Amino acid sequence: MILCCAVATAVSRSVLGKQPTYHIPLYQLGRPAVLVVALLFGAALGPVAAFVLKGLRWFAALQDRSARLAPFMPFVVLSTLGVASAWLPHLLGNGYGAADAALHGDLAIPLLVTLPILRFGATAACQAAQVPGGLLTPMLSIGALIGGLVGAGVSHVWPGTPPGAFSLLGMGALLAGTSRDPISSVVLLSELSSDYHLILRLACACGAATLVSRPLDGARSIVWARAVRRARSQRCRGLPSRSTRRATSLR
Amino acid sequence: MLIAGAATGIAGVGLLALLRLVEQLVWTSASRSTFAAASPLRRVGALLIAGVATTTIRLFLHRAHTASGGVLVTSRYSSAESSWSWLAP
Repeated sequence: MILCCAVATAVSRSVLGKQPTYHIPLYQLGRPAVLVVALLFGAALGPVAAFVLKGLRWFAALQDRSARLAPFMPFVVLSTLGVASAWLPHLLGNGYGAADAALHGDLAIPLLVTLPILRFGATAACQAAQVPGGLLTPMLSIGALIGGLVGAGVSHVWPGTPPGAFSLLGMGALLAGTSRDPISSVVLLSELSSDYHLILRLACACGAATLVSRPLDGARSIVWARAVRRARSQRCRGLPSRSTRRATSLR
Repeated sequence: MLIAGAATGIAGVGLLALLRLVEQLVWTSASRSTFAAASPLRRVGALLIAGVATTTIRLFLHRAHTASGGVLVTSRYSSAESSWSWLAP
């Protein structure tokens, strides 16, 4: 598997170049106290991750209750999102733009407050209406926005602390809390950003988020929720469900 | 393993190129700030067209499936079993 991944990466990099997915400035978080803040921040994002998982299920249940409207839900959701995007263009897309802006500290406080909530609503509604754009990158962008907000607050207490560094921690912590994979989250964030300077802080935040979110919402993750959703959809259409076995194995 | 890895890498590049092509067609550019650069009317229009296209395709597939003797989605969804309460931890 490692050989396969290495060859695939080498081939794609030879065509696309070596630029990282997220362009992150080099942050210096030398204070030991920041390590404690990273732990506390990760622990604080644990309940947020549990809420996100419950919210995804709630939206899916809402969609299932309005069964007769189900075929029309993509139009309802996408047109609502389109109207909302007239005022908030950051709502559109997979979240790379919003995450990049948060990582560079380019977003104003009101946007950092409203965008995570609205982006979560858009992601959950699209997922429930079965026009999904994935869950991994939305989790990263929501985490980056929450991290940017916390970073803005921390930089007031410790002037010179870059808010963008907390965006990176937020991305890792929310992803770890919702996927229940702290090690994968640390590796993924380090690879995506090509930045290994914050790996210890990331590990603290991701570990704390996973530890706190797991008892709050069981051992289930966004991967499991999506597999179950697909299995239900296939079963309701009378199709043989490969996802059912996957969902059962992920329980 | 080598062939599988190379094929996956090429497929990834191809899919990314397709994604950028669609982005360029809809938004006239494929940069990350493309949504902010587009006019509000274009943003609303693009999402409305996407909604209409998705709903039309779904309705077509739904009718084709029920016409061929498949199980009606709505009737199964409306059953008590369709509640997501069993997902709650």
